[in-house]
Amino acid sequence: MIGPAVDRALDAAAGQVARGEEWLLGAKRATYGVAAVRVIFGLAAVWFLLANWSNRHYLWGDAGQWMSPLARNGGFGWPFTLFDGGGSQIEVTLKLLLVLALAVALTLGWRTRVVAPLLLVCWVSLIESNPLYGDQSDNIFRILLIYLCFADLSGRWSLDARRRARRAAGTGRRLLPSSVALPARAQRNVGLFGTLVHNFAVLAVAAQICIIYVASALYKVQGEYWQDGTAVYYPMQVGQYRPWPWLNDLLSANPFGVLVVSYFSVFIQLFFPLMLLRRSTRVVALLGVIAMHMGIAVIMGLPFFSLFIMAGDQIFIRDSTYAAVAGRFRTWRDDRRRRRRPAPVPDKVPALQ
Amino acid sequence: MSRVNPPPIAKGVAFFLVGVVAIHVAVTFLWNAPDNPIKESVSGEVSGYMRPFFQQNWSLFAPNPVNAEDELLVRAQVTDPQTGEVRTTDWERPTLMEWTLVHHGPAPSRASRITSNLHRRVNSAWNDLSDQQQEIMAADYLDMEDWEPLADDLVDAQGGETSSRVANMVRADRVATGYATQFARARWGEDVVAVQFQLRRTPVPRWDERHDPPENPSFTTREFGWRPVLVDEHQDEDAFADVLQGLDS
Repeated sequence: MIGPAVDRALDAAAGQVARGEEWLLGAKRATYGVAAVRVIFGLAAVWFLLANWSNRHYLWGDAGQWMSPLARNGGFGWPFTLFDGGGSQIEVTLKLLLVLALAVALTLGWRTRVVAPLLLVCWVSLIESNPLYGDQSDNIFRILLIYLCFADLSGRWSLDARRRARRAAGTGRRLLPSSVALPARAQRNVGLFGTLVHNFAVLAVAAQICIIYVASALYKVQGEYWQDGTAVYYPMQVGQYRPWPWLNDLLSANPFGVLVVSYFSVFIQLFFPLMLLRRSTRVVALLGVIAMHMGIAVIMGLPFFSLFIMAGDQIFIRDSTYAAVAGRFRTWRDDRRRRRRPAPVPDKVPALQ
Repeated sequence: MSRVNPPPIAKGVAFFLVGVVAIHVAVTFLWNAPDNPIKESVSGEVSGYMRPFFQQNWSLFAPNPVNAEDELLVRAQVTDPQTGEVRTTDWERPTLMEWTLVHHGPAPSRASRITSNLHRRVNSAWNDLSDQQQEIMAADYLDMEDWEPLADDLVDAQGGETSSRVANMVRADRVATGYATQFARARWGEDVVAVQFQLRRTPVPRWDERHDPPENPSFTTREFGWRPVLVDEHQDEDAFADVLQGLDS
């Protein structure tokens, strides 16, 4: 009686382990999701730099030297000290242009294996050099980028992917002669290790995002205002979080809306990991947190905070979904092109298809 | 599903990394969880591991949301170049000037947060002080010679032992004085001889009083004494003044 039951349990466990191995080693997971995080991070970083451009000397240059009694670098040592201690106007401008170039390169997916770690070092140096303006978006950007340095960021939608595809097709040019050719088996093992590390990076991002939501909810449920459903009213009255005062007043004038939004914020965060488990509830969870962050971005004027966290959420959308959406977009675009152009004359159809 | 047959070494590496990532995630969760007995017993190890790279805090707008405006106010004593008379200016409100960056800005610059964060830093340093130490901070120090030994006075007031709360307060006082000096010189010119800053906190009306808020919005102020002007040797005063002018217009 007990023997077969134990056998069955062991079989089931062995099956789970095998499935785990397959998930980790079989292929790179969330390749589109990771590419989406890369593009959003890159664009948000560019936008952040542009939004702060006119105040750059005040924030990071010698116009902010009055801050020098405070510890400037948040505990980060070399090499995260690129912006430590301010700098002259020309120096700060040049350094920021470098960071801007790295952010553009990340967005386009150009040499991401090198660009991502360089941007990480520059970004942390920049953000941590001013002790008086930080928020949690800085932490999420840094932590996710640390994990993503281990992932293959340029598998999709990138210049790197295009270059690799061209080389595979034999049409690409090489700047350098092909590096030392490894034996086939060693090459396969290197590839396998890359896949493994990529998948762990994806797991780490997913776990970090879940921890953020659950921890936020656990702190909120302790608060009186979140319990009585008036919490979102308060920050909307504070000048720092009122980009569009009429909008804030309109929203906080509606008690039902304030209650629903307050409770919704707590529930969607608390149950986020559980809702990921089923496909149907996963869609609700992702749309829910995206709606919440859109609200924070527009109503409270914190677009970078929202963008950085929303970027992480992209990891939970499956590759098959992205591929389907991308495929539908391609068909739609091709249809439009065909309709706009007159039908091609038959004998001019290129032979190569 | 295409079955791969990875070599045993790959399985071994995978197994090892499962352990590493699981421990990392567990420690991250502990760091972020609200206070609990396990967190308390390993807090030293956890923060040693998490800082600085994985440092984070998700008690945002929680347990209760921000419900007050935190402002820094500045005024100065200025010598009239003709008569040599010293006059005291009105209080100015730099935090409100910074918030003009938020108003109708789809992506506000981080420059919109400097003084309200400075307020919080000075305020929390002040809250850690004893009554006697708070009196020391509220006193006027018009000369550098009087102001510099402030740390000694604060240490004496707590029985001669140094502590981080004295260091925090002295640092906060210096940085706020540095800001006030830059603000005052950009505003009232080179002839500023002393500056003073004040922390003002204005709570927003409670939810149940929102239609009928109290007549005069009740704010609390925390006033510090006069301080001598403090200019860092590397300070770019013109660039500071440019930004301030931009905020003002």
